[in-house]
Amino acid sequence: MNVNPYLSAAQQTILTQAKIGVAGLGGLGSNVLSHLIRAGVSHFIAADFDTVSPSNLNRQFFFADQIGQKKTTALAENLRRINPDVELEFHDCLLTEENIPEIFKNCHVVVEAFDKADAKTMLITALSKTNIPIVAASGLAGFGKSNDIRVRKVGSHLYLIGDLTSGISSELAPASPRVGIAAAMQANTVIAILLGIQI
Amino acid sequence: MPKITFNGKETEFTAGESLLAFLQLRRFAVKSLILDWNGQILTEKDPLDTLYPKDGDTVDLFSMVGGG
Repeated sequence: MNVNPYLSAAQQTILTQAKIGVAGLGGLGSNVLSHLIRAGVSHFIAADFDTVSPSNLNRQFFFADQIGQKKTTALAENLRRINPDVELEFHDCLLTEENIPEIFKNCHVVVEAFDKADAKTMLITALSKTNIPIVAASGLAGFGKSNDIRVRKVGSHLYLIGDLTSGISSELAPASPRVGIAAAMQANTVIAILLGIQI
Repeated sequence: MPKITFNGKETEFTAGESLLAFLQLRRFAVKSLILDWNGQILTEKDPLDTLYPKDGDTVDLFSMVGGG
């Protein structure tokens, strides 16, 4: 099913042939996937070991009646309601430095969508010896300061999105608007990489 | 004294100082840092104690903080 008829035939071909990796299906990953599917991307490899909990509903693309379900199962159901033809290779597993290169080896771009800082650097380490572009996020907790969230290109194949300072803490919670801005910017960066347009 | 461009500023360092020593001397904890060393991406898992910057190199640091 073609959900985005506003692209040229050449752009549609690029997006429908791309395979995008998403590491983590929380506030970033679930929303990045929703944006990319609406934009016309249709092949994904993603992984998360978690289940949907009530605190996820403040920012993640899940619903109250999905609490307790595996995120891989619940999100696949939600995304197929946008485009029933989307190809989802979802792994219900913990991503590690060892399994990341194998799981994402055929991806054109990988989105880092973890919650914890050490997991974020772990993914960048795990893929640093490949040439797969990585679109990562750092600094998106709290409210306000929308203009502080931006895209930085680091080295030849890493794109960092966020303000680099607003980490989650007891005073600074992740919330839908700012996590959503970062997720939308991650999705927009993926599309720009695929189409070869300005980041 | 050799210089590198460190986070956009010309910074002197001692020849033979490793990347790890350079950062520790300037009180940067390498945990959760991403380094861009002349376009090469490095993290704490790389052997920063065996990598030596040269005069004219560029090093930029980026913090990875939690949230997603």
